[in-house]
Amino acid sequence: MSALLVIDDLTKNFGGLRVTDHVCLDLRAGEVHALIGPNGAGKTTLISQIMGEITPESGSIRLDGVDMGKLSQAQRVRRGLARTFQVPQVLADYTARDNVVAALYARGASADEAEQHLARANMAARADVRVSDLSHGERKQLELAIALASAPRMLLLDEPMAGLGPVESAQMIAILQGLRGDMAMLLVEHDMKAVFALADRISVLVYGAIIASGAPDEIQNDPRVREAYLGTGED
Amino acid sequence: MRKLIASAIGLALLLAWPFIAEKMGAPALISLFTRMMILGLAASALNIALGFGGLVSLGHAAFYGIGAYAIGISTTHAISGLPFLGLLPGSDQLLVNVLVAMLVSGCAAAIIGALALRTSGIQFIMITLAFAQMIFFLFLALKAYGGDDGLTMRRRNGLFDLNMRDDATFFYVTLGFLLVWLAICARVLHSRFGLLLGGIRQNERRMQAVGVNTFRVKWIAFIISGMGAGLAGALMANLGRFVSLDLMHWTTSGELLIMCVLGGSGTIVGPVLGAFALMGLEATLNTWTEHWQAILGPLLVLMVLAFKGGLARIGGRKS
Repeated sequence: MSALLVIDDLTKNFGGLRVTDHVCLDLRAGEVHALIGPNGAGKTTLISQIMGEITPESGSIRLDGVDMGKLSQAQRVRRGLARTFQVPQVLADYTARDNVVAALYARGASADEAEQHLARANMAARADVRVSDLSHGERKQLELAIALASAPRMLLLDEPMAGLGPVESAQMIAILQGLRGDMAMLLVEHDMKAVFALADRISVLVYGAIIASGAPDEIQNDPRVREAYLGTGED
Repeated sequence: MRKLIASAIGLALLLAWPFIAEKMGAPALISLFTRMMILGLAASALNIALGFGGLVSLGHAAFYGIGAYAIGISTTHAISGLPFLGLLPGSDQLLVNVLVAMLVSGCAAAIIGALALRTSGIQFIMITLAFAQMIFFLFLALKAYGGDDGLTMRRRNGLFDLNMRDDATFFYVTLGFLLVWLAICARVLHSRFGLLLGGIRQNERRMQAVGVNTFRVKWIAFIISGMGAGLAGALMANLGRFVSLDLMHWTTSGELLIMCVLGGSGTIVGPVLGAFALMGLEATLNTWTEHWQAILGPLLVLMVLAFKGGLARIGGRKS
């Protein structure tokens, strides 16, 4: 299967700190690819570069063969990229439905589609609730519904389980399982239970560089990954 | 329902106001209320940028003044018979001049907005203030149109066969413009554009992430806002048959901001209520003491603290 998203030799520095170090990554259509690594490894920065929020110093990002380098964030969204944030970025004065409607209007779609996107994120019952009255977990689900309203081919998920309890996490995993196959997903996540439940492939980012990439069982047994991130199980 | 009843009572009072003022033996109150409506319109125009878009502009006095000067200059050339810059004939018709004033103010807002909207927060406030001051000093130097003496209009602009010299007639004309403007504001607020603009005010990063060209949305809002301020300026010039340079002074921008905050920014009628409250307080305190500003200041602070969200939101009312 050909790759939908190809990142080639991407590099980014913040002053003297290299946060993205010659990163090469490819994602196939419909695949769930998890990106794991310790805090400060540059995972969120990588997502921001893919979205066009941060400009890399060198390297390229291609979606379906099209170079994203010169495209604005709005143009990238129109070509099929969407993201969620680690800390939910939602419109607090609007209802959940209006949050989704705003995303639909942004791509020129009808507000009638809102229900289906809310339902896919298990938020249909909370559609008319003001976002300021939603729980953290519901805001996370709403962010997902907003991203789905952009009709993405490639969904970038920045720690969707962050701050969720066990029940909410299980619910989020079930929701993401339900989206599997409809779009490719780049899943940045610390919750290893979620990663191993969802990922087809895993890449490990440490100090801005990919140190390993492969199937979940390969990554789990990779000594470099165990040493740098997963741990050896010996205290 | 309560909102509808309050609006109906307010409108009925305004419609009856010229008769009430005449009965009270205080015809000057007709002009005072006309002035309040015009400033309410200007504040409502600022509200599109401030209340709907979260753009705190200290430069709207420039658009207000440009609207006033556009109508003053056009009228001056119509009366003298000499074309503006030897090319454009003037007009003494209100509808023509109002369109000219809105167009010129809109163009100024487009240019200033294109530059100012590349900044945000305190930088945006300062850059809009800087542009407004530049325009203020430009008109101060324009001796051909009065300079610091301002520009006198010999008569009010004509509208159909109405007697525009009559203050009551001009009151109703102004009320008509105000109602049309508020209808436009309501339309903007409840449109797709309004939803996106409100989204940008709440969380610009989120709106960018769903693919909204946030600069363009804010720019269009800024232009509409500037055009509204220009319309108000055009009416104010007609009211007093005089274009004062003070209309462009930065303190005018501050007063419009106070009206929005006092009445309720982000609501449809709030800025108009704010204009009536501020002007009403000024007019009342003025008759009591020459140090009226010393009372007005603390009173405004108390009112803003007491009516959080503005007068339009008293009792949970939103607009």
